[in-house]
Amino acid sequence: MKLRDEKQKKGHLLTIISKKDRTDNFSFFFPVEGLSQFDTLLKISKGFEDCLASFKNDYDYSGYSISDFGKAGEVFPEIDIHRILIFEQAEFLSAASTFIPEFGQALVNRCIKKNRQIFPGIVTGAMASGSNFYDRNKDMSTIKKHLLEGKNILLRAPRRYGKTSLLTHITKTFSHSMDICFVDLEGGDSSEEFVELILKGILLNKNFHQYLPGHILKAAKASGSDRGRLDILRSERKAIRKDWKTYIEFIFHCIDKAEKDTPSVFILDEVSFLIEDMLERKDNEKNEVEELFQWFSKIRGKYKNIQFILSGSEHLPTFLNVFGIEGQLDDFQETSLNLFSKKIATQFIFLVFAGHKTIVSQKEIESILKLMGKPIPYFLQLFLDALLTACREKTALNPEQIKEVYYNDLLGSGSKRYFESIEKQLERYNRYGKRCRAGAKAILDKLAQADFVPIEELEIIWEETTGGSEQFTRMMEIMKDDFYIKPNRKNNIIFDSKLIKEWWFRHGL
Amino acid sequence: MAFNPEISDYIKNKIPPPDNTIKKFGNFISSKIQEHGTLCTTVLAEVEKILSPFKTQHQNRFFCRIDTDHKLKSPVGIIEKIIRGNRELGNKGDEFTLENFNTRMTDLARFRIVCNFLSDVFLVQKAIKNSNELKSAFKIKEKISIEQRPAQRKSGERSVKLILEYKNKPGLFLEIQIMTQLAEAWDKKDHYLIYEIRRMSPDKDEENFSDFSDAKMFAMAELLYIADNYFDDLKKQREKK
Repeated sequence: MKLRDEKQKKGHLLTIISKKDRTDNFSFFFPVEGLSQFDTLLKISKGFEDCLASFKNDYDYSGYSISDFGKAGEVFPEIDIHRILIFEQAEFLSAASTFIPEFGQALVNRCIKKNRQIFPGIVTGAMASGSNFYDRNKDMSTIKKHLLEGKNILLRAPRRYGKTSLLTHITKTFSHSMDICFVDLEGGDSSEEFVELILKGILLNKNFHQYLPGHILKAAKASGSDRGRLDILRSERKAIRKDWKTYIEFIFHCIDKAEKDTPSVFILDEVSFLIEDMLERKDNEKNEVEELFQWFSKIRGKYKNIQFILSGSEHLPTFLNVFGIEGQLDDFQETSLNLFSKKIATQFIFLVFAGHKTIVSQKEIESILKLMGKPIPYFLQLFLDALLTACREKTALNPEQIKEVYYNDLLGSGSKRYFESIEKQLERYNRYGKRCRAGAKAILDKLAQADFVPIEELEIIWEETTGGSEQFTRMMEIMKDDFYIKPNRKNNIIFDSKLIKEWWFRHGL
Repeated sequence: MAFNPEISDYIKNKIPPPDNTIKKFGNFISSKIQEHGTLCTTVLAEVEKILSPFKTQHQNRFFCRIDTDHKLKSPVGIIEKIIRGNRELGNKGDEFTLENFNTRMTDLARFRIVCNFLSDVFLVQKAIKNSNELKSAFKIKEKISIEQRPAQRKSGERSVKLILEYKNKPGLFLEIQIMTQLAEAWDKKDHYLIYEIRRMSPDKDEENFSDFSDAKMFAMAELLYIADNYFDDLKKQREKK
């Protein structure tokens, strides 16, 4: 792994040109130092030509010999000099000096799709949006298919898998074929606030303004700022508190009755947080959550033209079950968000490094994935960030130094803040029952020190720590989500994330 | 762009559709010489490495520069050469075709090294010919028109042409032209005044050059050759001192 040398001015330009509009073109510049690079340059040229096979009706491919990169635009005026990307040959070559089609394809696809940024950036602690949002094509088409079939969707995935990023991306990209409103329920702790957050979501989405009562619509038109929206929410709060059901049903009624061919979809994100916070309120009881879910079930039957995507943690149904709440979510089509496949993760890593002018070999990418185990997006980004920082400092990293970054930087005490959310989850476990936190910790401690542990053994540990076994099965379900543990093929329990296991071994025990 | 009718007909009738138009035939031809471009890039980089010590050695004067303006033969130039070749060879089986031009023409990829003095031309020629990197990768042939007897001369051009054929892929050629500044200056003027006109209508010299401008240009090349020899003598005298 090393920083790319972009000083070399002599080289070869591979240009991909739209057949319809030749001003629409982009190029990859490969500096060339001598004859020894001829065979590999040929392989790269041919490799990119092959990558274009599926676009051959729309794009031509051409190579240009460039003596002075700075003057490429003067010599070849047809080339869009603003869309030239510089690479080194090594970035596209395997250890056996063959072209790596996955890398070429990933790059060509991003360029042809005209992503605002060709290279996804590193996003740690925030949503991946726009060009930073990578792939998820399969998940998106599954969700779209279900929505067009009129289904409600329960999107499940463990924490940090990128649910919110996906749903935000869906909100933007599906808006051409359906009215879709994103509602972030985090921060709400009552049914009234549930409605208030939906109203906030509607105010943020102009496509839905038409369904608002006249006085709100007028106010929304008058002020499109955050401040204006806050004023509206403040002024509507009284009406919502008075009768939240009637309030939101009026809006849903307007949406449901609208004559249109496309569905109206509400994405309700972070449902788990809403429920947890509702239950945590001192003056609250599970009845309020139950009432909310009963009402929610009823309106799904009532408003046929409104669909919902419910998103929360993997364990949402189990969570409700622990508290004896009848979620009535049977009509939801369950959809799980999986991790990047190895191929997609590899392409993603390649593009991130390329965007940071850093050459990373196929072998090094394999080593990165092997070191961290499952590529949980949030932690993958943390690792890549740490690697790039170290590489910038040293200009190159050898395999041993890559390992050092993993063990000393990512798993070092300096990165503890990035793992705080995991620790915090454990702190909240006592809400599930007496000594549940201690029980969960004992299980995690055991798993962190072994390759796998038979479930019966964990049950004994749980019993010894908590004094009972009644919550064990449910807690294991909840821990799957929070700590990435799972049964293996022989039904023994393992940490599914090598990184979390190693982190727990160092800092959790 | 106005083309000789013979070229336009060839494009229309011989190039497969949908590329058989004046607008598109270039893409068809270019797609067949991609490897030549790649070869040109790498050989250029190698030659620059070879020439680098000479430039350092002669840093107090201009030694040479590489002219890379026309690294690939133009699509119309290729078509014209196919037609001209066929006319000259008369279908003897070794003519150029759309199928074989990219493995038979030796000047599809080329660049020019323009030297200050005549003796520099031979220094460069020797250095390139003796480069281990180039010798191991290429079969190298020479065409020297600098020192030709009058009877052998077909045009005013005076250069050393090194024709490199890639050993790993026979039929993949590159041409390196080495000439003096004066020879290059002459060539650029001749290209505009004579060569292009003759290419458009090869059988009309009497009509096109009724003022004997072709003969005058030829004579000028010979004068410049004398000048180059004289400059080289002056250089040798100075370096002896």
